[in-house]
Amino acid sequence: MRLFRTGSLKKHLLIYLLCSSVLIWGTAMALCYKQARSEIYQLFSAELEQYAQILQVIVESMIVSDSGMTHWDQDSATSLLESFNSRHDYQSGIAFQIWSPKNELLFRSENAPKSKLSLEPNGFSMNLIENEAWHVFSSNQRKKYIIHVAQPKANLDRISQQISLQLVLIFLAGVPFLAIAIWLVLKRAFDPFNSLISKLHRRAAGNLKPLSEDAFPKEIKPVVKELNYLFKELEVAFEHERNFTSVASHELRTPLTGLLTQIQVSIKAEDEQMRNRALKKAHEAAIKMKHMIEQLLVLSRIQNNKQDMTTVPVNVSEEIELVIKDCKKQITQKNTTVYYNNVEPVYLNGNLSLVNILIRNIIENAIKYSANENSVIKIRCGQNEDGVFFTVEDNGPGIRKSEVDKINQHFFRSQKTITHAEGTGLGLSIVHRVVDLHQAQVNLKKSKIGGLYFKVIFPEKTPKPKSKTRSRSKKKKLAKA
Amino acid sequence: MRLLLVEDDEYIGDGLQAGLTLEKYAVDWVTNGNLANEALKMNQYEIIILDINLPGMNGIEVLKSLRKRKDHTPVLMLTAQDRPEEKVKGLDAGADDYVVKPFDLNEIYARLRALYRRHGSGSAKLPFIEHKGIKLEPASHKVYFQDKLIELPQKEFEILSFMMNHIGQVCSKARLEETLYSWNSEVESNTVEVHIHHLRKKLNSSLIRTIRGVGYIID
Repeated sequence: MRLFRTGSLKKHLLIYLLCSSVLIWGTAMALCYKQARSEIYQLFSAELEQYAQILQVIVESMIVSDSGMTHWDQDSATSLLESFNSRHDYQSGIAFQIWSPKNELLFRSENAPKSKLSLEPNGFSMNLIENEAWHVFSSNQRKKYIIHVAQPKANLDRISQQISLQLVLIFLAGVPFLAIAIWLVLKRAFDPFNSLISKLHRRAAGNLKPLSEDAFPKEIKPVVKELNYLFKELEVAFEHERNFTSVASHELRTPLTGLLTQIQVSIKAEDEQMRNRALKKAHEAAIKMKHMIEQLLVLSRIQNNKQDMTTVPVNVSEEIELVIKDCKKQITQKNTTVYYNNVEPVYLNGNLSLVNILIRNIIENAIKYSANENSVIKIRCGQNEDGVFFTVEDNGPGIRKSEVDKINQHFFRSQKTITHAEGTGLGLSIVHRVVDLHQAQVNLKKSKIGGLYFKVIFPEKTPKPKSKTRSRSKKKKLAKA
Repeated sequence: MRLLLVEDDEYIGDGLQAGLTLEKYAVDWVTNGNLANEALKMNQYEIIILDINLPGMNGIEVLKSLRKRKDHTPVLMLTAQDRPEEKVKGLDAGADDYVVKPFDLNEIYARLRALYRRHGSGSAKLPFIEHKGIKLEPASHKVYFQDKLIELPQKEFEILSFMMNHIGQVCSKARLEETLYSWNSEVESNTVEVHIHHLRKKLNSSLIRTIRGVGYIID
């Protein structure tokens, strides 16, 4: 059924249906023809027999009632027979001969040959006389007169052919009607397809509402179902895209405004000192913007990659140390004291680069919001009955409960897409996404040392890896990828 | 002209302060809503630039509390959202105009001038103020007296501009000083008297009337 894969399904169906109908119908016709022939043959045989009997009765009775042949007016009988000049299509051209017991030909019809139609005195026979085949019935009931009634075989054939031809002609005339009927039925059967196509065609590019499945027959419902599923997936993808664009444009707007303003000030500045100061600020703003763009790229990379998230046992304590090392610049700039209880390695099953991003964002945030004077952050990690936990606290100046609530809200919105709480920054959006991808939990409260207490719990109990170096070597590969 | 700038972003705040100082505004810059609220209670400003998204009290709260105190100082709102809801929220809370980030410094200048013009009591809604043969154009910082351009130093222009915007009202010495100096600048004593003296000399001497013990008035 390779044919059905390309081209017009309707055309193929029409051709196949028509061919098979013609084939079946044709076979039935051939059988009919054969049957008809045999029926016609029997019909004529019966006719011959009947003729013969009638003739026999007449001849025998005449001879019995009036002895001898005196009353037999052969000439008038011949002329009378000739006057029955019927012209019918199915006239079988029946001929007869009456032979006397003395083997004399008493009487014959005009179309009968002069020689004996059959040598048989009784029953059916097929004889070739003067190059013409005859179908003969002979009757010799009282062993006196022999009556032969015959019919040319050609006639028999002609009539049966005529009848069969009529059948074939009707059949041939029927084929175009059959084709039209099939075509109409197919057209109707394909209506749901057309309706689906026109529904899809009329659809605006942005319309991803599901199609109603009720409007379609059982065979098309799975297609519609699959389409609806696809629509839903697309909707989610678009939603991600839209959210991302909105977050990106909003987040970039602030540093861009700072940059533009500083550049305009530097253009308008009246003295060198002012210009230099504005340019320095513009440079700083540009660096801030660069950092933000990097964060956005991370966010866009992780927002939709559930399927290709490879997990490995990650050594959390090692990652924390690495992040602290990477944040050296910020730590020295702010003169931050970092407390970290470097205990035994703690492992969790996760995506190494994502866990690193999560730890980095939380620690960077803590450094950023810690107090300007005597800045302190406290980092801990470990394992308890809830799973692997990681906490960061800062001594930022009195974070208000409403602000803790705001960050909390950001995390507890159920939608699995990037969300954005005003003023919470990209870092939190990234942390949120990574937490979601790992099915981890976040616990936020006001820290005892003043600022925010940020706890991430990875609920699973994770096995220790076979070799300790495995996680780091893997990270390099991931980072390249 | 004294202006309060409320903006938490370091670079935007700093840039606006520098840019507005170039336009001869006396700019006080605060970085959170609570400080803004305090500053507004303590001082009288000619105009306020207010960011909506602020740590502490947000811009809308600051604005509502300002209007509750029956303070009608014109407010130019800054917003990073170009969604209509945000603008509607700000305008309904009592803002007079808004600018969406990122903006052009020149647009800020023009909007401030337009706001000030609309709120001045003199010949409002015109891009200049004309009174008793004196024509003052805030955009170009030019003053004409009987169609002749008069050169005025910045501070004299500020005082004249303030008084022309409050025609028929007595302006106290302290109020005039406030328009001239932001928190960071040193106020010299006698300066207001000196500037008034110069203005009387350069323009019609009977233009500015002294009301003893209270201040000055342009009738």
